[in-house]
Amino acid sequence: MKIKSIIVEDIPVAADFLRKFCERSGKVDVLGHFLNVEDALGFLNQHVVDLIFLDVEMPGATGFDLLDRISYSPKVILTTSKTEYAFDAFQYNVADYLKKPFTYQRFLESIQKIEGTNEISAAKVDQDHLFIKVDTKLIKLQNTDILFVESMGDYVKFVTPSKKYVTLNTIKNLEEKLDKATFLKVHRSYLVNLTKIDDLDGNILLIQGNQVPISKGHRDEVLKRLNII
Amino acid sequence: MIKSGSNSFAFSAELDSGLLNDLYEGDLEYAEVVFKDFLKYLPDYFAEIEVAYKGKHITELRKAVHKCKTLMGFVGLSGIQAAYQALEKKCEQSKEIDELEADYKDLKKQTESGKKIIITELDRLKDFNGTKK
Repeated sequence: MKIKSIIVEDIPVAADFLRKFCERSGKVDVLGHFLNVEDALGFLNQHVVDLIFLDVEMPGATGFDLLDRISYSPKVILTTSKTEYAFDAFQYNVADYLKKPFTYQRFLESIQKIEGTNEISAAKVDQDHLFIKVDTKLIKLQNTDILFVESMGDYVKFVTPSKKYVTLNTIKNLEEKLDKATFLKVHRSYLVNLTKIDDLDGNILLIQGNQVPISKGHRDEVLKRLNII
Repeated sequence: MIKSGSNSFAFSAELDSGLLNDLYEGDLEYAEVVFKDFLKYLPDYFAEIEVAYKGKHITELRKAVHKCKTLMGFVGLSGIQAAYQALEKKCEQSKEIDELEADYKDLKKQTESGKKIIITELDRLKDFNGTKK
């Protein structure tokens, strides 16, 4: 199956180059090309893609702003002509970083990385539980027991009604592995179980006595996913 | 489409031919398209630089320089691209636009000469591809 992608790039020459590489590879479908972050987000709110080819510097918001505001986590390949973004790229857990202009060979290497990670995540879908490693033990957590997950640097905290578990992982990684219909990223540091939300007070979600903040960038998606009548 | 027999075309020595050979892999018809696009977009992109410079908006100037720098890479103007890179860096460090005057003027001159190189190269590509009218 082909990788479904979009290109977010304000320089048409660069976007055309990339589109040509995608076509040539026979592995990547380009569903759209967007010249700015706002247009791309409009599309991403309606469609699910596997991969975003993302420029960083564009008119208005930056590529990193898009990553802050998107409500799910497709793979991301940064395409930029500035190497200084490498650290940010690492922070955002992007799959690869292509410095423009790049060759077809370099492009293919990136796609191979994406294919590798897709195989891994595909094996983990449709599970109603997960195992987390706490100290030396593997603990089974049912999705229905998880209230929310909070980022703690290189660790995350799983909060359940009865216990809290801290384990080595990232919100970004969990977002890909947990059921997207049930779990939603509401803030860079929080994933919540939508079925466990009791109240929404301004930008705070109340979940069984816990307060979870919603970031500005995620608020619209949260409101959309709550059953508001 | 990779054009057979394309080995007989050599990019001009004024361009980064190693990079261009790697990028286009002999697809000189596509190279022609990109060189044409370069000439189409360059005036607008450089106009953004001029507006920002004359308006004394350093942040906007940096963004416009960054955009133009990217464009230079696709046609093998690596030397000029490095000058753009240097100005982009200076924009990040400067507080007064006057500090950038010499670099701006030099870049403008380099861009003009780069444009002439690309016009000539596009002509050569058209000749080679048989698309010259």
